[in-house]
Amino acid sequence: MSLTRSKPIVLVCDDEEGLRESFKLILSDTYELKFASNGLEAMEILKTSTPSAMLLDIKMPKQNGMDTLKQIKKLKPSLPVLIVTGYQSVEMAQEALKHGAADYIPKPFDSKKILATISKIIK
Amino acid sequence: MNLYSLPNYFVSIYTLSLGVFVLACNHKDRKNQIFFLLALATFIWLFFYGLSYSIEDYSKALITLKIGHLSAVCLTPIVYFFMLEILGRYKKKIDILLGYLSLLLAALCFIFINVDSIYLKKLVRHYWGYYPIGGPLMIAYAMFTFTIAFRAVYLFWDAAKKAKKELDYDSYQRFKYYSLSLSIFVPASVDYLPKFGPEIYPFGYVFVVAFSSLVTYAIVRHKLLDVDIVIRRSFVYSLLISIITFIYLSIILISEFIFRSYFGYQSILIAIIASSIIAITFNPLRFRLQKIIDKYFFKIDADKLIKENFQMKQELQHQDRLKAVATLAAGMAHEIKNPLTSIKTFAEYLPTKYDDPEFRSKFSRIVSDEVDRVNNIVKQLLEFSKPEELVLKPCSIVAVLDETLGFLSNNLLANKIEVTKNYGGNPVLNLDKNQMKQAFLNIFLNSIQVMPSGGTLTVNIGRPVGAIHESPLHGSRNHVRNDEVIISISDTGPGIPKEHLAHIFDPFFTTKESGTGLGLSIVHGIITKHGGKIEAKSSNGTGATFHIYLNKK
Repeated sequence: MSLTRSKPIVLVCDDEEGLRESFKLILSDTYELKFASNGLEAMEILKTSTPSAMLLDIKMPKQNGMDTLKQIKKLKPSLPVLIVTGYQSVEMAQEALKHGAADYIPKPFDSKKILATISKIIK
Repeated sequence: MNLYSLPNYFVSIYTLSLGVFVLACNHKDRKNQIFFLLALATFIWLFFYGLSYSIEDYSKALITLKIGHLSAVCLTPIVYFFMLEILGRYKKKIDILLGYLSLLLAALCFIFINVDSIYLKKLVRHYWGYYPIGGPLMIAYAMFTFTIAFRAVYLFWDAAKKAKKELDYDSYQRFKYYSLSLSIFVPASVDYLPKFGPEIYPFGYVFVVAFSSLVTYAIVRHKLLDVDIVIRRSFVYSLLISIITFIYLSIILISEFIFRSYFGYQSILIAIIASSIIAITFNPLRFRLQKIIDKYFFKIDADKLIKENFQMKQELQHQDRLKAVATLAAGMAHEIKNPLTSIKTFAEYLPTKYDDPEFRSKFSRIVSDEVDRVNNIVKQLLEFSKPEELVLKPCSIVAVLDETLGFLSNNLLANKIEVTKNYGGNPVLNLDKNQMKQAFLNIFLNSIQVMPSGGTLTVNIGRPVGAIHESPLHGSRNHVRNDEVIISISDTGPGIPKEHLAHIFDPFFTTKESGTGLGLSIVHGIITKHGGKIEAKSSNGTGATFHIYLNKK
């Protein structure tokens, strides 16, 4: 009899298919992934499940990442959220951290950096 | 005749003339109408005050002063509503409430003017004539007037800063003028001082001259000079009027003393002599004052300042362009980083996942799509930033619109979009046909995209239709000038939310899942290059309309 430990769940919220597929390539060996293409979808998923971490883009249609982050922090304050965005500014990073983001990674990112950061924030 | 009354008469007539002049310039404009009211109220205030100085009888002087005073009371709400009218979208709800409060307080002053000791206690005889002593309501009203006058100065200054941020140089200048003119108007309230005791001759009219002159300039002039030049001019003239008033009143006082002491009568001859001295010294005095102020306060002369002002404006435009390029570069960087991230990740995993057919299929699809996307962004950006010269030729607007709609006939059919054309004429304008087609194409494509399950695309040539919320950044207009043609393009899509209206022409602003956000920026660029203007109007849920104003010449 073999004991299989289930993989931690990571929710990826990005509106672009290319990015979602990229995250799949990087993370699917280590994590079970759930995908949302905008903030509203992410909130729906979070109502029914509790992932171990979440990756969140900032510029998205319907509801942007910053507003989504604020809602998440009300619904699941302990969920570590990693912001991954093309906006590379100190102000944006500060704003995200102020609203409770666990960390901030600018695009284009390094796959090893993503893996290391997620494992750090899950602990 | 009391000679102290003369400056009041002069300033009251001067202000009324400015009011009539401003009204004659454009009697349909609300701000011109309000300014006329303001000038009229100022006229009554100063004229009746001047008149009262000449009246010996207590009760007659009281009635005259009451008329003058009630007119001065009206100034507070008029100035405040004048400010609200000019501030337009920059005003806040609290300011509208304050406006109504000023009306209410003014009404109280009217009600209590005849009730002893509440508004007006009594008249006191000063050396210039009778002057009232204020009651508690007058004190309250004076304090309220002070408070909202300072708020008005601040609001204009704040609006100027906001307009500068939005690169609206014209509004920036205009708000700066109003802020300055109001801050000059505030000291006119020195006239209140004798009402509370101190025997200080009410010389508030000096500030009224500066205020009304500045506001007239701001209303009437289309292209304003830099405010520094006007500050300098108004400074010179205000100082000049103060000095002249001082000289005039000194001559009157001294001569009156001499004449009364030695001859026991007062003569109009003195006023004539005083006026003649002033008339002779006016120009040399102005010239000297100008020189002194230029030398000690501004360091350079006015002509040099005008030249500097011109250079500064050019520099400001250059800076604005640089800012636009920086915004563009930041937006472009963001747009390109997403596809770059996908390409980078797929390239990174290529050696280890090469044997996986699913990976290979995704690789070829996603990487190829992302490269196309980058290419598309660069292409559109080049189109946007290319300083392509306009090739202007007379062409028919109807032909340009119809040819552009012709390109899109398949898209329109496929999306079940009905086109309604209301061409109220076929104006021929000097246009760059290809660029104008590009502009219309982008607007039509935008409309098609917002009506995926069908709708109506309406194209009007003539007066604008519909429209609720306006695009404030790009200057909304409610009227069409005679020398321009308006083309309106409306869709029946979901409309543009109010908060997005100010940004829809910004590069890289998009709410669509696909799209670079450059389409409408390109339209804005093309229309502006033609000397035209574009604005978007929309009521959430009932479609959007783009109004394009083009010059006929």
